[in-house]
Amino acid sequence: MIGPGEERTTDAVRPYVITGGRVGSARAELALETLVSASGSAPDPSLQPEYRRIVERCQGLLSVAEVAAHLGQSPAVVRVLLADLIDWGHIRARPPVPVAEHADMDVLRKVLDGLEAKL
Amino acid sequence: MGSKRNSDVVSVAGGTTVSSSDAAAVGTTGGPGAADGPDAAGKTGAADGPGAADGPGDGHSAGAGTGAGAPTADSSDPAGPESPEGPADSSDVYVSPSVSGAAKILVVGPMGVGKTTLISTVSEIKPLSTEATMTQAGARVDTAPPSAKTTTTVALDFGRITLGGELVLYLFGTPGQHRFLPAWKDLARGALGALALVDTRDLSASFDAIGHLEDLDVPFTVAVNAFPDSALHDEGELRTALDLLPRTPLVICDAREYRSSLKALISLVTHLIALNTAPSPTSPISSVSPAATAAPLAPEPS
Repeated sequence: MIGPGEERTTDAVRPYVITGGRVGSARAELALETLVSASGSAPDPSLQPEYRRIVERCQGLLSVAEVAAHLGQSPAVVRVLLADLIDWGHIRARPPVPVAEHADMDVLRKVLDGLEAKL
Repeated sequence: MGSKRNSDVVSVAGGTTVSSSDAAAVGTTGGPGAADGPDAAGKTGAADGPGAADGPGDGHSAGAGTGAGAPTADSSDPAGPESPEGPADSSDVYVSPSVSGAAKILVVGPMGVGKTTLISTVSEIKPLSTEATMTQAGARVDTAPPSAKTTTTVALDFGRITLGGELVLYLFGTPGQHRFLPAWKDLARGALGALALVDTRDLSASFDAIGHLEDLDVPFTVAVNAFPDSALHDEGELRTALDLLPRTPLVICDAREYRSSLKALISLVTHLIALNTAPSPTSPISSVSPAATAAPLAPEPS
């Protein structure tokens, strides 16, 4: 147990300093499976290195989860940084296949066909 | 009771945002590596540990247990195929540019049941590891006092399958213990469905995961991961023990085998399609027998 005054680890805070304390903005939250890639517009060299690292890593299409895993960052942090980069035009997102309540029939059929083709 | 394992504590990765309750749990089990119970050791690769020892090389996770995460069980385990050593081919890192969308399926179950094994069996990339964080709790980190922190971090292994060149399917391995439920909500959002892995040698270990799926209304198929020493069970007995609805498919698979794992996923997706086709997929009781529901059994407001 951690008492109120005790700081167990500074790691608990540091990632959020990168994001200016923001986690989860008002913008539609990026899902872990949302695909992102660099748009080709080069980020300002004065940007925080965390931003630049993401843009460098996104030279091809990757999911938010993959970006986080490759960079060793928490997805919660990566989501915020990616959302900024999307706003600034450095990253483009392809939203996950829209799933309303449960799955969309068309998506399910594509998944089924795709899996069966791999048998 | 014996099934109430703490072993998933091993999976608490990185330690970026460990809640006080999780910290306590770490204490009780002696920390990563010590946590894996003996009965998990014999299972398929104990693959649910943060097996992604390849882990993200930089950043915070380097210190906190990537090494400790490799359960000792690995060495004595016959399940070779799920741990391909060496870096993934870098040309395969990125999703094909032809892909226009992504979908996800959860692979759930207790520690050691073979989630990561199944994912790595079917994944086109070496499974990666990241963490699931309870997002709304994180939002308060900068304002709330430390005692109010409720952020929970759960290691999450995932893999990827490109389907038909235009769709990519992500499989997220999700630990199934009760305290991880908050992280599940985030993960379950947008998931097509879930494959619930079960080990017949310890059915009760899967109760939490199956309960979470039901609570969150995530449709699922149960896949019994057949371990070499698993006793053969009658399907009816298994269904009763797991308290499954009649329409919930139950399949047997070998998470180490590609075709077998793929077939389990196919069974799930076939089930999802059937649910989508059925008139009232979310009210199983009434959909089983429309006639029965017509009976005027509704309690009258006195």
